[in-house]
Amino acid sequence: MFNLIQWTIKQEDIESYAHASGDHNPIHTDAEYAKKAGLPGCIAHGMLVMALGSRAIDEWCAEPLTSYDARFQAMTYPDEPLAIKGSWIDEEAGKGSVTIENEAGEVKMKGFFTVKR
Amino acid sequence: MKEKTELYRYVYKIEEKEVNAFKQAVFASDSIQEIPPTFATVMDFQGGMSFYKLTELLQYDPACVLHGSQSYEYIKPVYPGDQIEAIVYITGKTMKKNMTFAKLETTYIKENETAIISRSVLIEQKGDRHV
Repeated sequence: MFNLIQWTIKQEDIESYAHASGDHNPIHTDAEYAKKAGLPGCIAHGMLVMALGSRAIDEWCAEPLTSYDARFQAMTYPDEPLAIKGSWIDEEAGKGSVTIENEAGEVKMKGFFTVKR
Repeated sequence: MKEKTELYRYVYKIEEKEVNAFKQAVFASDSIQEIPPTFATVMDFQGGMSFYKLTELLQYDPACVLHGSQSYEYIKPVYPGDQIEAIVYITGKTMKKNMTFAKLETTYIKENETAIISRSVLIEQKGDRHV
């Protein structure tokens, strides 16, 4: 197991990500729009959650990625405390897994990666 | 629909200031010279494949779109200053109950060689819950 990383995405992080990435789907930045779409409020971009996963992998392994695969399993809300967990599947082959979940254990993203060996 | 069909292509010059802004937004280490692992999404959005353009091409309702999965294969390193040609393909579109699944594959070419391959599934979910 790699060391656990705790993280909370703030609404301003989501806005900063929308600006930097060019992903301006209003569901992420306009609470009224998000409510009209049937959500309790704005949600984080799945790709921001995936980027937190790659940041964690970089911290754990510090080797260049050769592949990174993520499945988005639940929506991530601003101010929701997250736990980023990871472990090797096959260390020799550079294969590992990364999971991002909330305090209740709801999995937001399940990912697999390989690093250069 | 199962065959691979080209949806869109664009050329994108990677600007250092955009890479730096993205690194800051995703809390990535500043010491790495290569673009961050998920930076290809910036190339798509800034290179002309905006969220609305994509939903229009897929004939999706923009208020009902869910990103199901995303994967990347990193073949050649990509750096700020590189010029990338991206070709976006739709590799499948299927419907199940109130959901439509579109599989996309994008090849990012640097100096005539494939540098990154992206595969994603975008879902249009009609019903009481939209993402």
